[in-house]
Amino acid sequence: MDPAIAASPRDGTFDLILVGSGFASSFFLHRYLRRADVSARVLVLERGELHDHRWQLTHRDELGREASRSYSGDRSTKPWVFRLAFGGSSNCWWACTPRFLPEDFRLESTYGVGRDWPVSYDDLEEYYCDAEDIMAVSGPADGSPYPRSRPYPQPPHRFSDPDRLFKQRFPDRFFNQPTARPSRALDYGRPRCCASSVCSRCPIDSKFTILNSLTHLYQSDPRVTLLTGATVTSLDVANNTVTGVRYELAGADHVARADLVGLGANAIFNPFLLLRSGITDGMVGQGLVEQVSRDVIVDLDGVDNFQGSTSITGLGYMLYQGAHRRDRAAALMESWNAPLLRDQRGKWRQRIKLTFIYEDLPKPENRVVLGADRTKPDVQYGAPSPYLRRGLDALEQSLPLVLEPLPVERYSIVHPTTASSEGHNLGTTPMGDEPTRSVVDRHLLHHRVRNLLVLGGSVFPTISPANPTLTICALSLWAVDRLMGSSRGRPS
Amino acid sequence: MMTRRRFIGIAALCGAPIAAGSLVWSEPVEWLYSRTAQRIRAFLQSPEERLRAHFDYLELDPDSVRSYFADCGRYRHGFSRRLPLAPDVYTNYLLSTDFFRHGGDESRRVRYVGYYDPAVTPCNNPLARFDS
Repeated sequence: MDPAIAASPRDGTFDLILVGSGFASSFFLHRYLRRADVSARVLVLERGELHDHRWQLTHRDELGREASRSYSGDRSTKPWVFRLAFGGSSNCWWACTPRFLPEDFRLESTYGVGRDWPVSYDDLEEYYCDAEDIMAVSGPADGSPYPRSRPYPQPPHRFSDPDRLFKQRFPDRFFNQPTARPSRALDYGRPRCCASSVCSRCPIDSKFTILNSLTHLYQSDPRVTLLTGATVTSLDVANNTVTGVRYELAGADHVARADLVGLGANAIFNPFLLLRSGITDGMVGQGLVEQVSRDVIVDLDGVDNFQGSTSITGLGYMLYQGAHRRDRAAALMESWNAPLLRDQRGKWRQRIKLTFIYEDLPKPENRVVLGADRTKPDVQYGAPSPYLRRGLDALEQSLPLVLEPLPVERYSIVHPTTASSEGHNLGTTPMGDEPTRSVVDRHLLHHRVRNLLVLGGSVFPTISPANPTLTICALSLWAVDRLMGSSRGRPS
Repeated sequence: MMTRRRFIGIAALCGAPIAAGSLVWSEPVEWLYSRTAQRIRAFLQSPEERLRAHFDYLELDPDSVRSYFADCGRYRHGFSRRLPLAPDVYTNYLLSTDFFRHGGDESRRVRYVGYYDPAVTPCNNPLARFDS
């Protein structure tokens, strides 16, 4: 006999079950509810609890520690940072929202490395715009490194003085950072960013989070049932169809049924649930990957810093595009405005931190596998790729070009002494046209199990130096329109 | 009487430890020496005295300095009055005062405003600007 069916709609079956309530699921839900019938029934199973902003401020790193305990693996090699709570990693992100460049979607055909995505930048462009509107992204008003069909919803943040020098020297390669830290207050309660520069726990709840901007989807729409504390353990699959989602709640096992199931956990838990369900086709679990960064501290001669209006004010693309990408990883440069003062009389403000974020190529041996515990994935990660290593090694020789606009007194590259994370867990269920080399198709549907969607950064076939969140959100919006027929006249 | 041979002998005797010392002198030794000096200083001087010595070119309001270290005890993880000050204490102190609000004017008396930690006092960045 089946375990009890919790949160059952009248007919016992939901139209949609979403696993997770982070960016991927919430943006999918946002578009889905707009397109779905009034009688639609959606169940969202969230492993974590709903902790309000105040709770998160007072409990500081508790969610981080809980996430760290949720998987097994050697954390000294590399930690993986995320949150298991309502809203997922929106609770800890830094709200950096650059888009990928068009060439990021065709690395193989452009540079002969990695793989091409089965979707193009042009496919996603309108969805990037929609995601930026939902988050109220502040971005550059004087051009951008990628084509845009709409202006950013919010004006840019104020540059610092070093940013202005970068902009003068690299007008087409340096821009205000697009960010979901608003430059203007929003009428639904998000205040303007005030440059506190502790964005992972924004003290004034200014940055976009699922909690402060999309909770209404879960709490006010009668079509949606949210269960928190519900740990999904596996999917029932028969005849290439998901027939049920099994989960633990309050110490008891349950199963829920739906016509369509979307996994929107993350790149560690999405493949884990597939593997636990016997869905091992393609490359499930392989290619866990994320960026690696290096900080460069630059002491300036006569130029003050920190006049910007948010923590990170500029993005530099000087080491991003170009033929070097055939051989070594591209980097995106962040220009920091957080007040990292220099302890020297009269020169306190004459310092800038630049962070160079490098892409990596997925390696099959870096992967997620089943562990002994039915709720705990095992992460096996050895080392990043030689491609990334070559990019890092080239930083020192590239710096004279990058720093040319600044009056540099001295600089130092900070080499981390412990393993670190950018908080971007990617790969493990890549999208692609060939089932043997991927897990989901270009619409994020599993190649074989056709009522199963996989959402989020786990579907990235390659990554980029750019922060992945906006692309995750755009992909979720795209997937709804492909599934339900485009509202804009495109064929589904 | 100091003969040439005796002079060379004494010079060699005195010079040998210096030469040997310079041979083994290295960054770790320098770090150890500096750390030990800081520890001794921390034992002999209060944090207020050390801060005032560091900023001997500024006029620090005495009550303000006391208030700052009282708040360090409250908000700063690992702070101890008898341990060397963390390297960022000095710049954190400046951010916690009205120093930058007065344009970094060294001639003005520096007064404590509130402990600079955005998690404690948000929207307190004295350097950020919000005009376009």
